[in-house]
Amino acid sequence: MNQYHPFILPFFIGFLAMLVILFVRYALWFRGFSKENRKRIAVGLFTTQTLLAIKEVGAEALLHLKIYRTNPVLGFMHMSLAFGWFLLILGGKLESWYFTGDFTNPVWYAIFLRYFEPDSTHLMYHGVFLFFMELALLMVLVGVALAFTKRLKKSILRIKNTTRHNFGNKMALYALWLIFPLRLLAESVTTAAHGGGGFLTASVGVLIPQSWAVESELYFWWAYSWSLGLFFLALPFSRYLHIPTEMVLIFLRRWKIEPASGFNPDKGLQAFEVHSCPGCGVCLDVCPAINKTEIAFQSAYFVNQVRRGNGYEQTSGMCLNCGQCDEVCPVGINLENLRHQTRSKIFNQASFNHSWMPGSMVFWRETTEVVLFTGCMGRLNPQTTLAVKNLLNEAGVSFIHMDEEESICCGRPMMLAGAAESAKKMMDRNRENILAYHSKVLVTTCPICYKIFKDEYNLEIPVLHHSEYLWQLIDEGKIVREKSALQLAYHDPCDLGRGSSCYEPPRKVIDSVGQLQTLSRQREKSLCCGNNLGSLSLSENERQNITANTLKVLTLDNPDVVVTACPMCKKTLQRQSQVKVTDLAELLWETHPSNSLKFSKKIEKSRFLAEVK
Amino acid sequence: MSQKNNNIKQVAIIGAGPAGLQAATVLSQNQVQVLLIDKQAKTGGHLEKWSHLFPDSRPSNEILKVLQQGIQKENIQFFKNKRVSKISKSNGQWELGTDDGLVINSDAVVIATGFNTFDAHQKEEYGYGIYPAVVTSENLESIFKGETTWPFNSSGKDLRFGIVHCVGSRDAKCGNLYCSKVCCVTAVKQAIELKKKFPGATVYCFYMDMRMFGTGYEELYQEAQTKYNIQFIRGRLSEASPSQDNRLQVKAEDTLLGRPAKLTLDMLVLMVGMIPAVSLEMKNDAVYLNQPAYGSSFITPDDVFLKMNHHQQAGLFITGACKGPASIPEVLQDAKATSIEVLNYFNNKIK
Repeated sequence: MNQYHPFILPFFIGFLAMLVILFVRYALWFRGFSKENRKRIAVGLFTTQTLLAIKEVGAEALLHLKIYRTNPVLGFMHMSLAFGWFLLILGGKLESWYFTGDFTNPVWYAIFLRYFEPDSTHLMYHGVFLFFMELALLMVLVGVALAFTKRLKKSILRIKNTTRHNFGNKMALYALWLIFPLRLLAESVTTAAHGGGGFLTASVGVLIPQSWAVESELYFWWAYSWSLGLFFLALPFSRYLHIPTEMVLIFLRRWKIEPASGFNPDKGLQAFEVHSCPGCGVCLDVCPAINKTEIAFQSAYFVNQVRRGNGYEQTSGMCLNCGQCDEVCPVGINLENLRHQTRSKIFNQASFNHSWMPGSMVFWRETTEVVLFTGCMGRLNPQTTLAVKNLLNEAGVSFIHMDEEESICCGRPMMLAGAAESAKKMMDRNRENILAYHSKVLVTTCPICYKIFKDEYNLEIPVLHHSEYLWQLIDEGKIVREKSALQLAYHDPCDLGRGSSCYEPPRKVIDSVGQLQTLSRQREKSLCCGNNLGSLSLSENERQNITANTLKVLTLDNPDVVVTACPMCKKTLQRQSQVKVTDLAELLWETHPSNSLKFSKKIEKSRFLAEVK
Repeated sequence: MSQKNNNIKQVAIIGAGPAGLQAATVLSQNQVQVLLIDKQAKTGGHLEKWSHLFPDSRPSNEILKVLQQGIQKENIQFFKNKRVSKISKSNGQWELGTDDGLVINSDAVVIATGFNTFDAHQKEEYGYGIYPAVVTSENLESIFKGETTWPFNSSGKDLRFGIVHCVGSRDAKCGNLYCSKVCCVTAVKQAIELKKKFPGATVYCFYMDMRMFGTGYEELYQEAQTKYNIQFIRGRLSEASPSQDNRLQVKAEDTLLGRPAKLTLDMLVLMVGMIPAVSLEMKNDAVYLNQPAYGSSFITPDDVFLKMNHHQQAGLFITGACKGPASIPEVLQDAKATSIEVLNYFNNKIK
């Protein structure tokens, strides 16, 4: 039985080249793992985590369930391509095994089987194989058609933004588009020439004259082989590297590999992460800054720039770290972390002077149960601080306001800017400062501080955001309010919501004084206010575009007040808003019976101004 | 205004501040029937709130008196408490609609809506509306006039005052990139006045640059330093908060010395900038006078060199500080120039 023809060479050479290149690249990346991480791999390999990883590869790399959940049509496209192709490979192998009774056939034999064995009618159940294989081919072809349509008209796939590609990626993309239509043609021409074929190839084959088919059959197989070869050759140099890399990443994540600090896109976990990005564009549609800035800096582009090794210097600082892309990334790349590490590389040269920090600290202070920390943004929002203090007094809580004594920055802005070492200096000093009070709980009005207190400080005492504490005081009956007819729209601060999973307490506080509106983008999907303490390069104008859009969403149902729980969100939204913007503590204090008359007058005034407009 | 004589032209002037009053005076002297409209009950605009004027400390009511006398004429009609919201033109006649449904007709319209002062509440970090010792430049004038009292114990010793320049001006975050022009010299004037009232006090001015553009302003600035020993600190204020002894504590950076400054003060004066009082919107051949939104700009003339007093629509004129920050003398000169253009328009000398 003949199992070789020269037309298989383009495929085979391309395939071999891909394997060698992949092996070398992966080996280099693996060498970048720290000792601890290598140990984790060795231990993890023989645990159930490996089995779970295999399951996850099936669910994500083949079926693409996460993309499917975000966008069914886009998910179906990826699934048809990946799972369909997988079925073709699997089916081909089984079929060739069945044909020859030998499992170890040459690689190309299974792929070009229809050329070598056009007629299989002499075998039992040959129809089952044929039907299965052609169904899989049809599935892939549907995927290709969708991908093609996506390039032509993205709205059909219900996506607003699609990634733009460079030359190398385009070459790989076009080769990929050609592979399966060419396979269909080659198999159909062979069917026309020699008979046989399933529901797909036989139907197409009927349209082809037999004499012509016999003559030109080989041209189609050559073309099919070339398209495969070119695609495989281009794969390690294109974004399609994500296909094998994403699978490796799933295993690495299951084995609990930890990211190294610093910017190393060619070493270890970061290398695997960076090359796992399929550029699917899910991060584009959710980004609050999409189409609002001169330069697109969204994660899909940013990761691509990191891969290319240039351009990221400019874009990494523009992001406002709202965490929306991190939340939806179907591959689960730590995008926020990658940005911080990139910034660390950029800000490495900058030297920060910390001589202003107080030299020696007091280790014992007068103590109370509650220490209130309002931070730098609290200083820019004295109204919020005042309201919280009034509310604590109203509830009869004894507290110390740290910022009145001495307080320094929580360190998060430095962290966001990539200056991890400077941040650490502040954090250490601030930690000493906080613990010197020996209080039972730390309450902060700032979600930016809140997140770092909770995640990085190891404070040994509970840290509460003021929304959580105020809700507790309401719940305990220490603060009592009458629910009014006020229409209230709540803006989820990124660091409180997505950053710290605190969605309910602020809503409960707001709900206790008025009517909480439902918004088109809220909770995990809430938009960014347009500001960030760590982003240094996004222009004021671009920030204002983001803010304007967020305000549009917040005020769609004509709320009386826009409420937020972050001093920075408040300040950013407030200056551009026609509707009153306030912190929930201010809302709660201003709806106190002694203030409520004054408050309703204020709202009437802002209503009037909005209507005059 | 149905009893219209065909030989006598009518002009509607929106705004009865210095610009509107001056234009009304000149136009009425030239036999034009003037319909003067203001959103308030009194004429005078912001001038009415000011105590003394820079650079020569002239009492503002002297100027106001002259302007108000100018409109005590038979051919001037004053519509008070009317807010014009829409202007439209048909058959060469202008029609002005107010919020409360009044319709006023005229042959030409002059917009002299002037400015509003920036709402200092927006700079919450300066504590306006939170700490009584924080006042605006406008509030200080009313204290000077004796209408309100000092927000501190005025018999105290070693008083310290701070004056912050550029509040709401040259501030991208407030949406206002422009310079309000008159605040620097107002700050110098008010600093001197404070020093005259409280000779033992120390006065600090926190500025970005000193923009002394007018005649006599630079001299006044020199005098403030040499004769009155007023301290000028280059740097923006970052925040104000209550101090332990119930005064104000402010933080700033002295950018010339390159070091942070922390001061305790008895009063902080915010030099609030100018923002437009109306923002124009052209829709279906009508002009709407809207409440300005964040970042709204002043009214742009048809040509900043040659048609400084004209709107794009013939017969619609703009004058005074509605085009951008301006001092009283500038506004008065501009109103006279506008009046000539209106007369030329009536005499068919311009189209």
